[in-house]
Amino acid sequence: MNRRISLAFGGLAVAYGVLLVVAPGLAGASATTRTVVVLIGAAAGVLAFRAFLTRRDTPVEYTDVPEVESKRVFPLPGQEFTDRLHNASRSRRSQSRMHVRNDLERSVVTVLTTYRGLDEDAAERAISDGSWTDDPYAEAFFTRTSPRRPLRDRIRDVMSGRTAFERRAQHVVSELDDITEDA
Amino acid sequence: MIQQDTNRWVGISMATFLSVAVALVFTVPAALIIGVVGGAYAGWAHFDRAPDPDLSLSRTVSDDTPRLDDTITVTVTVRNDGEFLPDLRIVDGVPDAVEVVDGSPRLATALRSGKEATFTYEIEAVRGDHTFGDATVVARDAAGSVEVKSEVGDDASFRCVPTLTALPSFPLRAQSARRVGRLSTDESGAGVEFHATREYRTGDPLSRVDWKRFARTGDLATVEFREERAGTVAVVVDTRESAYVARPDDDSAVEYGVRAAGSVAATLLDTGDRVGLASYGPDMTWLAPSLGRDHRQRFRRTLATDDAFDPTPPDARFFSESTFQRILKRLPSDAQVVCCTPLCDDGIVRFLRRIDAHGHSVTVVSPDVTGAASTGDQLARARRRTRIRGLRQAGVRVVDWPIDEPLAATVARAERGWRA
Repeated sequence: MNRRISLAFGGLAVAYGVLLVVAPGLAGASATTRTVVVLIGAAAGVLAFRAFLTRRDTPVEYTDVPEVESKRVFPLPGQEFTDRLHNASRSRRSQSRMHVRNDLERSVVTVLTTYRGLDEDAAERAISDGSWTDDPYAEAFFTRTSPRRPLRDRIRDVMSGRTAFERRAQHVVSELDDITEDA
Repeated sequence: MIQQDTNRWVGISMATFLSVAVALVFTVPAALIIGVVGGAYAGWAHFDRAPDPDLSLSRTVSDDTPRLDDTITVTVTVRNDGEFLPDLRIVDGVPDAVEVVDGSPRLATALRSGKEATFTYEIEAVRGDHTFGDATVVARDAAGSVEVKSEVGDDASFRCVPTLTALPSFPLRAQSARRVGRLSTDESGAGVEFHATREYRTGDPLSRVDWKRFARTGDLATVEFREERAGTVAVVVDTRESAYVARPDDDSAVEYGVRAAGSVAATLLDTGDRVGLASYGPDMTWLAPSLGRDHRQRFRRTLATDDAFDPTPPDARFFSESTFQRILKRLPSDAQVVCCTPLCDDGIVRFLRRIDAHGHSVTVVSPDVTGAASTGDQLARARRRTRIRGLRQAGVRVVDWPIDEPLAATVARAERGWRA
């Protein structure tokens, strides 16, 4: 429909132009001619604006071609946990945090049974009462209490930009790393 | 073949209308000239025809049986069998596991009908059979308003079968009543290790007579040595998707496992043991334990080129129970197992313990690809250490291989520990 209107409008403008060239006298007074010309110019301006809007809303498309220069990159062994911890620490959803907590709890139980000779029940009790570690942050990750620490450490924690959940999880992992390395 | 508009010229009419508007409203006739140019571009973009590429491609590979890490020069020639292509872009189908070390596998050119264009690049040879994929071709019309994507290729390939490098030694597990090991049976016979003395019997070789004892007591006694038998070993490589992990910019743990498997097999075959090969992954393969030159070549070829040991991770689903059963069914009753695995999950530990529980002594060679840069890295490292300790507590020997040191040095250190 728009195209037909544009076509009709264009046809009329061209016919009027031809008429001006062939028989200037038939086209009417010069003031009227000037008005029509300005109107046509204004219409062209509107069409230019429309074209601008179309350009703005239309993305340029390019065919994606494969990246073939580098060989395949493999994930790091702990990449999946790093990503999960990152997401959980920034998420308000308790479920994703619970998964991380359960995951780490299983790891702590396995380490305590393997390295300290505890049975599973004793290992779980040690986690519950915090006796499995001297690190107040690692302890607090499972007991969900606030670790006692000097004011300077509290300020440093706030400035670190990490959430308490992420910081405590990192302390749990560091503790596991120390236990398994010391053995 | 996929055709799409690039939308590159959408909005060009803005220039035409704007210049017309300026010319008419402000009475500037020269502005109409700009409008004419804009109109010309708009018409060109609108009426230009989509290209219909008809190309043929041929590749020349400088060496189709390279040695590991050799540089291969790939020459790609593209011929235009159809109409003139004013804007042609080609990206070659370099195999997934291969890295381009020099040159570029890409070409951008205009190509007249019947003409050819050639480009070259260099890649580094890695283990396995590698077939080049189809090259991706993108052809555009002269205005660049329409583009057509297609593929063209040939069947070029290369095969890299690394040599098996033996270690100075690789100790097998000690003999028990139900197992036969390479070095230490409990029966007397031909060998080099002292076992016992017994009363001399007629026909015993004089070289076996204990002459010192004869000089001391006057009794004739014969020295017996511990009999040595060839061991039977199945080398199992962990090829599950979870084993395709790596340090940054390094080969995967499966690749290190394959190298370790080759070295262990070469060492044992050199000492006369019967060695077989299996993969513990979705694509289970099995080479029965044997010895001899032909078997060594077969082992080398299977390890290098079998799909089960592909340098890239498998797509197929893995069924742990059925794979375990298939391996167990094929293991000879007296076979020991040497498993090459990064020990990155608990599934492999369960597999090893079950194999051990079925009477097959297990030795693990574990390339350590864990790091310490992130929390996840540290956790993976702690978990791996825990698995190693658990396996050792269960009587499984583990060679914990830091991949930045030669395997021979790690095995020698482990061997000293086992003897102590």
